[in-house]
Amino acid sequence: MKISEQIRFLKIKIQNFRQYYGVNEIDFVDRNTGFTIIFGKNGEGKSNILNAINWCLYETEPHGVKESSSSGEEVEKMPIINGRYIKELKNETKAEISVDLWIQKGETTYIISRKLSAIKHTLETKTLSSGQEQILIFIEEKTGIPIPKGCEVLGKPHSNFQVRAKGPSDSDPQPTEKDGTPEQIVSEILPKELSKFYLLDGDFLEKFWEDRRNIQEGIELISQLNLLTASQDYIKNAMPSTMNIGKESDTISLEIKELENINNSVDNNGTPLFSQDERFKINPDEEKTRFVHLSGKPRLNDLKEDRIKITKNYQNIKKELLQIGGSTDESIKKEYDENSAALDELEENLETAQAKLMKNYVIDGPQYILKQAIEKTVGIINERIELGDLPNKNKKILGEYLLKKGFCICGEPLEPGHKRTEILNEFMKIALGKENLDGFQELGWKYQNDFIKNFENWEKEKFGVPLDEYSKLDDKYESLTLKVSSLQKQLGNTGKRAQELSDLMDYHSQKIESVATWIAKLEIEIKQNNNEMGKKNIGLQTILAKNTRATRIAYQRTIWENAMKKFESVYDKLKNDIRNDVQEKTWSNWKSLLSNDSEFSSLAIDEEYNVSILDKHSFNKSLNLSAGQSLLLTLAFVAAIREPTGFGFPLVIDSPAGKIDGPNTHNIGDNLPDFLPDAQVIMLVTSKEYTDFISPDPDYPNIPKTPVCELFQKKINVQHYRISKEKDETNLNVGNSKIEKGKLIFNDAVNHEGYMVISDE
Amino acid sequence: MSDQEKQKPLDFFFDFPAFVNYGQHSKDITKQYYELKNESWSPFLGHRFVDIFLFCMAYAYVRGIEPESPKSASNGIGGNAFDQKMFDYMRFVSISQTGELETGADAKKTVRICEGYAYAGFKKVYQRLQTLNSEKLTPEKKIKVLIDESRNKSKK
Repeated sequence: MKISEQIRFLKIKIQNFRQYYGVNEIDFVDRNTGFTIIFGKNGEGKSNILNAINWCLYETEPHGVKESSSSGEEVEKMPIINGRYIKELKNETKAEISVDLWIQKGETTYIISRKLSAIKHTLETKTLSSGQEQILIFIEEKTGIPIPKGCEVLGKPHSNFQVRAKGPSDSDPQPTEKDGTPEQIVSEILPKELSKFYLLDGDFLEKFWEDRRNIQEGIELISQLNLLTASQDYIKNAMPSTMNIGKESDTISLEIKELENINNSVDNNGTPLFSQDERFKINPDEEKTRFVHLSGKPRLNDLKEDRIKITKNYQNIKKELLQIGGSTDESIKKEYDENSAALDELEENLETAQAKLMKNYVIDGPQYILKQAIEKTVGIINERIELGDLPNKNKKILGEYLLKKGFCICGEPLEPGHKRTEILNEFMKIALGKENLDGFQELGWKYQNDFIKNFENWEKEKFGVPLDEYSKLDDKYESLTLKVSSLQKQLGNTGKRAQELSDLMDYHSQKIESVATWIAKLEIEIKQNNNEMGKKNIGLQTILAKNTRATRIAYQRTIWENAMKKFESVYDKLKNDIRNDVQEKTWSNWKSLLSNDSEFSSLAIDEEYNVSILDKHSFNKSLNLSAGQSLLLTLAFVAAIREPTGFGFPLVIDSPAGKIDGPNTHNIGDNLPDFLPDAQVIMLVTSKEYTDFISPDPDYPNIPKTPVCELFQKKINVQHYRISKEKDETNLNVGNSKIEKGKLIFNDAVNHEGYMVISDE
Repeated sequence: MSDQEKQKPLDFFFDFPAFVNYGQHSKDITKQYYELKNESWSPFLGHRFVDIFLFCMAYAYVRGIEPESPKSASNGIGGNAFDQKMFDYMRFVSISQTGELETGADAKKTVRICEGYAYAGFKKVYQRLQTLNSEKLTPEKKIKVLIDESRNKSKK
């Protein structure tokens, strides 16, 4: 790869690859012409354009592992061979899919073509409960690509990878076998390691800063510093060996080699060695398991990276804990305590009210039920009273009175022994025997006055009032119980989460401490090893000086060592210069993208490629960036790393503003063309990112709602493409997308006024 | 009612029996009485046999349930568990049933009539409570249902 050569994509032809049925082509415009914008909805196949480029060049498909439908629902993986195409194909015929990419490097145009062929036997499908048919897939072991079940992948020459080149004097593209294998040529044009810096998706942009190696790789690969380190390795290998000169020198040489291996964490063959300690993961479910290098500098770098990640996690946990603490605090606890005490009191009152009501129902219930019987009885009593039959006591009094007066009630005298007198005595005797009935008179009065005549009040007093009191208390109790339960839940949830977070903080704190201890020990160990190697080298020189052959070797080694030192010095200077350039350019790019650049005061990338971003109080905020800030910083960095060497490569950016807010989306639209003045830019966007008006943000009232498409139009020309997808109700993972040339229109006749990218054909 | 009132000999109920037969010859009835007295679903929870006895008596009488004399058996509800008010209720039943005040003055007759209603009534009340249990009503609602059923019947 030659520095300063401009590389740009000219065209891509996608044939029956994933969503794309038939032949679909995109002509990419160069930077002088403008940007290429490919517009599509989620799930229509934007990420698979990135995958098509990746697959064509490197046979990988790292973007959007799972596709989502337009409704956001996850669907089964799309087979690499377009479903509609493979379904239409007759059994036992050959299916072919291909991606061709035209790349211009300097004056040469390369046509890179990858083709996959397969024999279609009988497709395996299943019918889902929705009634849709789904093509079953299997993952091909060798390449890891999803193939429809029932298809048999064919090897070379049916499936192939080839590169042709067309120089300024060639009329037709020529085979390139003489220049190397297709893989070697592609690696010369755009090495695979670079792909993550030019085939960008939103996810990578957001998570870029979680791994320090991205910054190191970005700077070293693109500035080609890695070529210098490769030269250093070459010199090291070319240096005459001190082995086989003498037993003593051989032993020391082996010891030195051993120490070098320890410092580089490699075995004698140069294979990297790893320990069984797992690298720290922020998202254990999403991140692959990696292991810490066994020893030396690689181990030190791993641990330093882990320390950054652990610290970042620690700070996030602390932030959440503080938020929880602020929201729960004493006010909820106090409210809970007060309501809980009121509930206890209410419960007692409710029990009392219930007991009273129940007692009345049970004890007085019979009286209430027997009302008619009581009325009947009282009626009988009253009748007896009216007849003078009651009370019997009165009969006795009357009899005694008449006897005393000696006259009957009829006026006749009552003489002893007279029949009239005997009748009166008999009457009195009967009355005396029935005196026990006299109590009924009192009973009748009592129930007549207290119950029958006063029934409404009695009923109210016995049942109405207690029932009313009980019902009111019961309602109150129910609502208070709900309130207390909700407060309890609130306290319980936050308490539980707070405990979890507190435990997590303890764990992270211990982890940070132990990693720091390991780092300190390792730094000492590496230093000791270096000292030891230095001493052994002096010893070796002394021994070698005693031997004529060895003296010559020692002299040659000195020349090589001096050359290496020169390389090291050049490397260090270049590295520092480039790092400083990247640092300054990243900072300036980032500031232009941020809605609120006054939040930060400086950005620094140190020799170990650790990044510090200081706020206006000089606190390092590099671990506390929001997703949007992090994404914009990556975009700023990727733009910046092109500057120092002038090495131009295209940028394909998928959903750059998918996760960022309105003001920052505005800044992308406003500034991206300016800080990428020379880069070929191909953007894959949704309406939210491109044609929609920017959502207003109360914090940034001065940010206009102008959509990104309009902002771009003010500065550059844009070639639009539109991805459209035919609806298919009967098939799940068949894929019916097509790419057409598009045009941006302002349509005020549709439901909402606004910009749209429509097909231009 | 105070203890003093309870102990006061009644003017015309001087011959009240020592025990009232609630159907104690039947182990099931006794078990069910205990159930109503002790189970949380029962509206009679915490009340006495005598309370249940009287409630069932009133229920059966008003609802026109045919009285059923329980078999004679020793013991039963102690006579001293009954108070003045209860005597009154029993008298209302016996007098209104016979139309004779004299029946109400005869403790034995009154008690026998009431035992018949209480025994027949208890079976119905227990059965009805089982139905109401399946409707998952609270105890207070259950007894309210029983009372209302009796009152409505009574009005007819």
